Amino acid sequence: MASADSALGGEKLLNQLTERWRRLRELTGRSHRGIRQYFAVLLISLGALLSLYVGGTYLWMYQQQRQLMHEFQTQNAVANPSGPRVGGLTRISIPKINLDAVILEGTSHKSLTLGPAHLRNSALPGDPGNSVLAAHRDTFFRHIYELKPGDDIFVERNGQHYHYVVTGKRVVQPADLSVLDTTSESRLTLITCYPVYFIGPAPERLVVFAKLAQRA
Amino acid sequence: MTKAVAFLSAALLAATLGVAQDTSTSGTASSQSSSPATGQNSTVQGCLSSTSDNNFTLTQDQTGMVFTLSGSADQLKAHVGHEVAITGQQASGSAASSTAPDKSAASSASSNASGNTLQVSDVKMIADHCNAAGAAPSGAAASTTPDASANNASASNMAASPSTTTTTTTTAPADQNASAASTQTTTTTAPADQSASAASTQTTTTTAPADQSATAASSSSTTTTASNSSTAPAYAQPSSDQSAASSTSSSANQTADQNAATSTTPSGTQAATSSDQANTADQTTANKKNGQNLPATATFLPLLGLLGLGSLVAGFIVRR
Repeated sequence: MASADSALGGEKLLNQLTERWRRLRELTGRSHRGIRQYFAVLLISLGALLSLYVGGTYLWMYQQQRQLMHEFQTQNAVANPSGPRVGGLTRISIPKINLDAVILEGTSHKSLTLGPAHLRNSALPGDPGNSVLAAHRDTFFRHIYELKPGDDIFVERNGQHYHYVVTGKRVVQPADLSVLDTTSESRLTLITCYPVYFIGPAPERLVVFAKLAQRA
Repeated sequence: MTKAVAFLSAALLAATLGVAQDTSTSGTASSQSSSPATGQNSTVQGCLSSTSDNNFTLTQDQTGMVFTLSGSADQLKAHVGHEVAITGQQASGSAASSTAPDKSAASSASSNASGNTLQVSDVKMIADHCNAAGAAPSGAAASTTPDASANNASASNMAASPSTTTTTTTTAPADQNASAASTQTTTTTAPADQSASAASTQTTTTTAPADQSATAASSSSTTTTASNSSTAPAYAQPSSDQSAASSTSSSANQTADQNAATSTTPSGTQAATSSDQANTADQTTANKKNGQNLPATATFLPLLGLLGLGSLVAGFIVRR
């Protein structure tokens, strides 16, 4: 008799425990679902923000370049091409990699975002000396690694046309400033990050050298 | 599902850490301390030189203080004449000499002359040559130059002509605190690409009263063989807004530089005066101090774009 009572009590206790465990799991499940929902919203918001930022930046770059190109064409159409001018925009085109862009002055973050940037204190394109241009590898200089010796680079500034010919390329460390050194001849130096398809800030720099072949 | 969420979280965290790490290492050695405390690990940036008795000294750029270095001789030997950042523990009690380039720096150095021994623990090269302020004791022959412009001129040669072999001899009867004659020999090896286009050998001999830099041009004589390489004028750039497109207002400055460069030319070829060299050196030094690295063309946009897309996809997956 006593053993039957104790067995009944044990069964009751077991049922209670099972019931409590079931309730606890329900509560936890709800809680997990809630956390997951919040996390999903957080991820979607973050993704949307980042995508908007990146897309907006590229769109801004595209529009600015279009505007600059329009200004460049207006300048060339209005001015007398035979006379020397001062203060004009500079355009670079590299047919092999389908690059056609207006150069911005200074290698600030903004300049580099909007176009190929001319390094201050380096010679202006077409002038004697080393003219240094830098651009991001994901936009304007994405394909400069494809350039080979003999490829053409055209620069147009103040009604003058400069034809550069690629002489070589090198991969250097960011601290290697020798590529910025001045030269007696007209040289064009293009700099971008390397490796080209590196995800994140690439640790090296790809430098393409070109020398002036013809001035028109 | 949980695994995917955990993986994405880890990826986001890793990316954040990567960005933070890159930001912290992309600076231009600005963490140096100007007066390291005794017994503490500190970093000092300056020009490394060696003395005749096989000791090494570091002349700090900012103050002209001279530190005697101990330890890591092999490591130090490889960087003599270079601009380096040395990390180490400062010991007390050792004497330090002062070879500061000018009076103010000399007084600064002498006032800090005691206790300047650094037990080297790490050597990091900043540049393969010394900046003008700390360059006095560098090079193949140690020299003490009372006139900073001489250093500037040699720095100009070195920086402006990568594809030339340049030998500069300067005899300077000084009228200042220390009479000195310095001999500097600088050899620069050109990158392969550049040497093909303008390989030349230049020998420059300058005799100038050391009383001052830019005004010494009239009495300087410069002989250049196979020149037209290191004396390219400095091109002033238009001072436009950063976002402004490039313009060409530099012709006047360029002409002025060229005019200055053609005065007192004994040989009829192209020659440079001390003043022009000093100007070029100033500009080159300024360039290199403004950015110790090549233009930072690294961009986070692709990475951010990928992260954004990844977050969007992960968010929609988790939401299901």
